Amino acid sequence: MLRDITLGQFFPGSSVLHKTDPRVKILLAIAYIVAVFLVKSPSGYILLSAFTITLVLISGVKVKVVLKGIKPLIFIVIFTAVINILFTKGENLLVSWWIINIYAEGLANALFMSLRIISLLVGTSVILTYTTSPIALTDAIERLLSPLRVLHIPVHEFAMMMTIALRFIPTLIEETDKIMSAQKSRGADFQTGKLHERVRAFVPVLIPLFVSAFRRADDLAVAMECRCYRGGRGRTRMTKLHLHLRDLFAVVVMAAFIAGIVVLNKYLPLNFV
Amino acid sequence: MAKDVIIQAKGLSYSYEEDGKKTEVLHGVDIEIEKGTFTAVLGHNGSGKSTLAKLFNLVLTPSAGELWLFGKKIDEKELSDDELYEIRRRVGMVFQNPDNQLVATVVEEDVAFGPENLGVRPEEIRRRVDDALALVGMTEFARHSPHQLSGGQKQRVAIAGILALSPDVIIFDESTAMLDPIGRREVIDTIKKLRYDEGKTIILITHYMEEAAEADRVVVLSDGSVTAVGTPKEVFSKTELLHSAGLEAPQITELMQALSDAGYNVPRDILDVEGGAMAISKLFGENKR
Repeated sequence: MLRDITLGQFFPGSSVLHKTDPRVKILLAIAYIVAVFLVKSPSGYILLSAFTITLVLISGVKVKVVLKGIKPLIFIVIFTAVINILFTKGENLLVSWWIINIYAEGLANALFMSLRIISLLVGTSVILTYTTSPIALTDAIERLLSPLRVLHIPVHEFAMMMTIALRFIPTLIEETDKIMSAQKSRGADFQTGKLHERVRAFVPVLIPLFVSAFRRADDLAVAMECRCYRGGRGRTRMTKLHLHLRDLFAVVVMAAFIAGIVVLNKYLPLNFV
Repeated sequence: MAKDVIIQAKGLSYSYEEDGKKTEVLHGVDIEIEKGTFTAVLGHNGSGKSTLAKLFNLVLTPSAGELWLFGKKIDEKELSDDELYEIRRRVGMVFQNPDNQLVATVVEEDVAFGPENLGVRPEEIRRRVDDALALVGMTEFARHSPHQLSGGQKQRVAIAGILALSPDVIIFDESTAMLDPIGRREVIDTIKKLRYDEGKTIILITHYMEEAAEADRVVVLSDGSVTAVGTPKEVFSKTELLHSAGLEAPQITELMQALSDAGYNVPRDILDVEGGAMAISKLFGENKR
């Protein structure tokens, strides 16, 4: 039952987005976020939506998956939309009833804010989490942050911890499964009872799990020492990340997109209210 | 000295302190390991066999006695960090639990971990990783995640990870204890390949007699002291000695000795089932005549 948990949200594939250098993708995701906040005109929102939809289509990630990813945000989207509708004051009054005044500007703001939130989520997950394996992501973070080593920030150590955590998640899930079966066979009940009873039933699972995790950590530390691990100093890597032409292409596309937004903001806003 | 001794212990002791109480795990152990040999260290739980192994690559430091590695006497205080890691590189160690010694989420990344730590050039790491994986027969799993593999396969990946450091000696610290019979066979076959094809010096710590029977030399540890050293035949024929160390000779050896004790004319030092079958069928032949 625990085996069904999908880890991370990576969907393996071979699209251009999958193949783009993970370091470039992190930077592109940041650029994308900036672009989303630069949008100020209706025409800009059209471009943003079109660009984001294109990204989803290129990535090959199923639309259903993307929509499922939006689901947890629905409450925030509705909340912001309602606030915007109710509290934006403008010149074009549409409805006036009791103390509620709804302006056309409010409706427009609500629409744009919703678009902004949704594209922010969809765009960054398509560029990064859906199309980059956790290990590539960790690797890229380590390499991007490596200049910080000058400031004595243990970048390598953080990346190492992340890698080990990723490595041991399946192992520990398997172990939890085993311990739960063992406790069930002794009459433990995880499914019924009040919430606090069910929480308490988990204590006999967590204690052995923690004990074993510490033992594993100890074993792993010795094994790493035996394999000459002594921190990040003087360490090399087998896989070198090379920038390809497609990475340059991706950067150019993103730059064109940002430029497009700026230009539309200024010269062709298509303001309708 | 004609023999090429690469690990030598003279009166080696190890003790640790817990709550102010000193416990000695090894008492004055003398051992010589020659280059290119296959030595099995036998002992029941708590006999100090794993401690001995950890002394050989200086994960633990001896509390008394002399330890010579590669012709140099080890003095912990004078050892520089670089020298220490060079010894760890030359004396590789494969542990019991395959899960707890794999670091990375991809097999080939894990094998690369050792050489990466040494600061080897990327192209050279690639070559070593490919060679090591080919040697243990895991090339087709290079891009797999360790948790998709069986116990024996994981242990072979762990061996490849050590091989990538190109060590002279490989210590297997009960590396087969957690495996099923198939996995155990895979690991033992790999060990033999390393010894015969690659000329690695092997130290196998185990409590499986059948595995020890494949070694050139068997060392029996009992309560922190060496109680017997010799070829498997020599050691396994001393049943009382094995029993007093909490061990048993391979079943076939025990059977042949029981037959011999009962007055049948069979050799007492048979280690494999085929040899036993031959001896027994010979016995029947004699009786017919």
